[in-house]
Amino acid sequence: MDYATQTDESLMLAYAKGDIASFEALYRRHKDPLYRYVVRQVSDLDLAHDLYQECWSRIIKAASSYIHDSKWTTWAYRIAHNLVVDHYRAFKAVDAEIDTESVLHSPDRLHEQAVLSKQLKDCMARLPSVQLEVFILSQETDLTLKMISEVVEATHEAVKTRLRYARTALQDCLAKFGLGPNKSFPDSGACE
Amino acid sequence: MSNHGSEDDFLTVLYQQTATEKPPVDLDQQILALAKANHQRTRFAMTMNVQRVLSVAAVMVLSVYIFFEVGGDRHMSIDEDFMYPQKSNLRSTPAAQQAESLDMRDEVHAKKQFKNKEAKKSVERAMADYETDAISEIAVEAQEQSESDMLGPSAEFLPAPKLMRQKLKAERALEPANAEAMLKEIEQLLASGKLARATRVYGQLKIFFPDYPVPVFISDVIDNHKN
Repeated sequence: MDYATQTDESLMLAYAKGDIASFEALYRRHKDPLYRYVVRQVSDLDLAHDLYQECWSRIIKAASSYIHDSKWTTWAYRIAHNLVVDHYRAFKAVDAEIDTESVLHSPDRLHEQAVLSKQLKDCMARLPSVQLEVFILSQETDLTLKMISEVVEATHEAVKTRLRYARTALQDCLAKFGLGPNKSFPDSGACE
Repeated sequence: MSNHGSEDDFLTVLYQQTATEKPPVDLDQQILALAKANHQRTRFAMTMNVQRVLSVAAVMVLSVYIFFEVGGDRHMSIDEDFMYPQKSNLRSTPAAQQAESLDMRDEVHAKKQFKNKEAKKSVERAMADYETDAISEIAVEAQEQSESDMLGPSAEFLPAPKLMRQKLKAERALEPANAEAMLKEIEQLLASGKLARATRVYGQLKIFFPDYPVPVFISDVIDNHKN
């Protein structure tokens, strides 16, 4: 059986019928995006790991009752969303100031992948949680805005607005580090 | 618009460049192990369900078999209702039901009477056998008596069958009211060496009180005498 060509839904149904290899294929396909979805919203790594494991545990337990009435990704991220909402959002800091100075004065800031990553993460950390979640979903998954609205339990318009605000906020934040579409962009010719 | 599009591309490229986080290997292994365990548990539960269903089915089949086979004729009417429910619906008026129940009661009564008659016949057969045995034993007893009187066995001294029957009837009229008295009488007869008489009384005891426990030595002596 060629698992690479199978849809998420058919893999899930195959696992429910007892094909463990289908689950392994499904897990390999979605583990990284789902992991980043959780980790990038939860600052505590241990808590993020717990939530990630709990998310997959719920997916596994629900396999026998899984009904193919919606996209598997929507269903799985909805589970992750509920977990993150329950465990994290209460103590998410939103209004912290960005410490741009330490990054700007780093000697090899424009050549280090780690520095670039830190800049983006810092900027993302300043986003309101609802905007951050929508932005991550738009980047990590192939879900449409309508599907994202189902995951985050918001209206289509609300999701659209959150995504627009998130992008604007991130661009403004990154501009402070000298990064932007019309400015210098290290290690990437696309944004020069 | 193009500027806005390039901003989006810029963010996407930057995000993809920095999206390097991966779950730890041990976490992967834990989740896959959990999936396998859940799969095995589900399969076990399914097997158990199948076994449970089969057990219930087997019990039901066995019950139905016992119901129809062991119940026998008693359940014929129920069997008929089961096979032809429309038939029972047709006669399901109260009057019909009452008549049906009366019919069933009569049937049961007739069966009981038949069984009683059968039992009575078997008792009568046993009594006739006993009577025949008793007559022959009286003859033996008379012979014993004549022997004890130092007289040789002679057909002249043997009591006629009519007399023997009268003697038997007379003995029956004096039947003891309880088994204990009969047993005592047997013991006395055995003690006095009247084996034939003792055997007859033992036979009576067995007919009137078949369940009464008789000492083994008495039954052994009687059996030896019979043989």
